[in-house]
Amino acid sequence: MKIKSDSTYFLDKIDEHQFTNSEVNRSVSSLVETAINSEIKKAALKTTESESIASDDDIINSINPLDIDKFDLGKVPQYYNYFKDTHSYSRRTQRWQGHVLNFNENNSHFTAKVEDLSAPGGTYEILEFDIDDVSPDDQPLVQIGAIFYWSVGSLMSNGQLSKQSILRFKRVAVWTQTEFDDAADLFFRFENNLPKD
Amino acid sequence: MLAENRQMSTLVLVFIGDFNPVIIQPFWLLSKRLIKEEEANNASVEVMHNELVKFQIDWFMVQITRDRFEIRTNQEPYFEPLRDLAMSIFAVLGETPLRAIGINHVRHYLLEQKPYKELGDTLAPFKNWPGLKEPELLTLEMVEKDNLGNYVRVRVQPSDAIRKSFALMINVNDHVNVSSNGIGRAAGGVISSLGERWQQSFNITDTLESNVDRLIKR
Repeated sequence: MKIKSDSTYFLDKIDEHQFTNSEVNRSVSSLVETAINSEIKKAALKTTESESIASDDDIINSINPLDIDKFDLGKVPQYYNYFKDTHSYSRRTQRWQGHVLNFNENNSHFTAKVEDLSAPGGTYEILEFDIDDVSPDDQPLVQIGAIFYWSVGSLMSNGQLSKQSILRFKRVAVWTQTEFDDAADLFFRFENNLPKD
Repeated sequence: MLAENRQMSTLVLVFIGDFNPVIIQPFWLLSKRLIKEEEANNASVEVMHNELVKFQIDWFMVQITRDRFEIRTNQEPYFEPLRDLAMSIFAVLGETPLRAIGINHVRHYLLEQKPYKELGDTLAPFKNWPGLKEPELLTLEMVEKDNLGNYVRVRVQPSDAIRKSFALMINVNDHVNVSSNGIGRAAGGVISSLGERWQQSFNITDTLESNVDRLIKR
């Protein structure tokens, strides 16, 4: 049994380059809705925290045959590129974690204590970094005691391998005044309960 | 060494609980100062729906449904920032019920044909399958559980990311149970489990990788 939905009709029309503007507007809306439903269905198949990724085959195997017309639009992304995949990944990366110790006289460089993340608890090094090597968005975070991550390695992006060095300052949720007060209260309660001697 | 031959490494952090997907959007992350302004501006939002949110920012991808929150990166320099980001999100959304945290390490390697085939014979000796003339191992999965509901699940199989022959994938799913008798607990109280488990999870994965390396005949 072949079920022909509006959407497959539209895809056929795309192939044949023969559709009117009103058909395009109506069908694009339908395509987007169906594509979103398809993505929801795909995501819903990932019910545990294991890494396995639901594939198009999983979707096809999971759907009710009566709903089959809704899922013919697995092709939609190929036509409209709604869903972008990444082809960038890093290779052979060495990572360090550091924290800022102090700045030089004109604040153009900072000194940091840096530890190897592949061997935590091992030796550390004291290094100097140029403030210009920090991205503009991160520069307000550069303060004494601030934690940052530094890595050196290669980046493979769309088949092109390039060397990269990344310096990124740690970003964490900022405490609200209430959270800060609660933590301070907890500290003082704890301190008051400590033996006095 | 297998570690030196690693072609790609992905870290996937998965949280099982009860979520309201539409809360977490690139500009919400920016408003909490958890990402850079440029990253929020350049975010690629794929789906923004009550049931599913899916978007990509330069170095990580997020997918959230009502019961599953996943954040992943293919870029090793961002493994720690990914952890910080996830911990910060759930520090802000401190009342969100969480039942489990998964730290998933997915590593891909390229091998020569002979050691690749022989690794299958070593892991699941072919002599134990006398009915098959030329058997090949496709997937091997091992699990270790404790009595707290935590487990480590390891899967060795052909790589699903490297489009070449004789590419190997090791997938370690480090599952941390944070529920109380199966009932979710407030994220603010349990998200520290991610930080506490972090280094041990990497150590386990490195040990498993070294062990597979030791079994490869060269």
